[in-house]
Amino acid sequence: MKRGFTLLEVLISLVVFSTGMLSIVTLSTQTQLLTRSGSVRTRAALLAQEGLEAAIATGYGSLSTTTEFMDEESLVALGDAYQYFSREVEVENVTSELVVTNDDTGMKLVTATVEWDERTGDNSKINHEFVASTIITDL
Amino acid sequence: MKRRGFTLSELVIAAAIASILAGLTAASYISIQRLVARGQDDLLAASTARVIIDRVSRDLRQALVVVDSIPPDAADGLTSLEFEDGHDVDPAGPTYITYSLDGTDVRRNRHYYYLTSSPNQRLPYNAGVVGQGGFAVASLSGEDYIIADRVSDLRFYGSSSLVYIDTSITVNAVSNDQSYHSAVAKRNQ
Repeated sequence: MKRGFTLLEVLISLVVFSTGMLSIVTLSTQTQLLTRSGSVRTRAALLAQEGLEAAIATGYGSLSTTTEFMDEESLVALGDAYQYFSREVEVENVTSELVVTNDDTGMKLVTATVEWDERTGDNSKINHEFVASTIITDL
Repeated sequence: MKRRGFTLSELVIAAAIASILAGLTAASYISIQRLVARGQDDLLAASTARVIIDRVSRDLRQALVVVDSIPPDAADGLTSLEFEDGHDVDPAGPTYITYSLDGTDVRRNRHYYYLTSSPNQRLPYNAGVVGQGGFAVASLSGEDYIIADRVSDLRFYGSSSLVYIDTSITVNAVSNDQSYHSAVAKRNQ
């Protein structure tokens, strides 16, 4: 008696096989995205630090409570690696309890926010941000 | 009872399928290995850049006098920067720190200027011209060392109060150049 595989057996083996292959493909794309995000975060942290340092260099007296915005276009001058970032540096007067106020209290809160989009495995984008802040005083 | 083995064609087909599967597995294993290696290179580049930027930042924040005149544009950026150390103010006189790109290494050097006639008295950098009239420079012992390697570029630019630092790290020939950028404000105005 000659007996081959039934259709059901073939289908089940195909499903098992393709599940295995699919997970390998997912694993490799996920690995790629994760390893890349480490360098991207370092870059974002350094950009935020730059924003704070620029505020410190400006000094309390010359620091106005406005928002400085660096979009993709002005950051792209730093190289291709920076083309997806945007940065916002916000300066606010704060009281000693860190409550935002309109009065000049002798204390300013500087907040640098760096934003970027990161691709995920299913090709959609997730918006990430890195926030750093410091206080500059009138001393 | 008739014993029946595999036919030749069955064996050939089975061998073909097995080798295709083995090939696919090997290919994905190799590509994952490559990705991991690439990821490690990127992380090494990121931590190298952090070391450079953090160490320069720490010293430059406290710097008393910046010796070099710092160009405003990145294109004219300096590959070495010298300034007066503000951390360990030595009673013997001023000491200076230079960060420089030496080949593909970044070097930190602490040194002082003196007259060969009175080697124990440290002088300001602009008290003479090195090599003339006995004016000389000497590294402090154990204070000339490499802080980072595999650095393909290092630039200082901006102004003496806000110094921009650009650095590129090339871990190896296959990994891409990783460029990093930050800035540091001099606190000791």
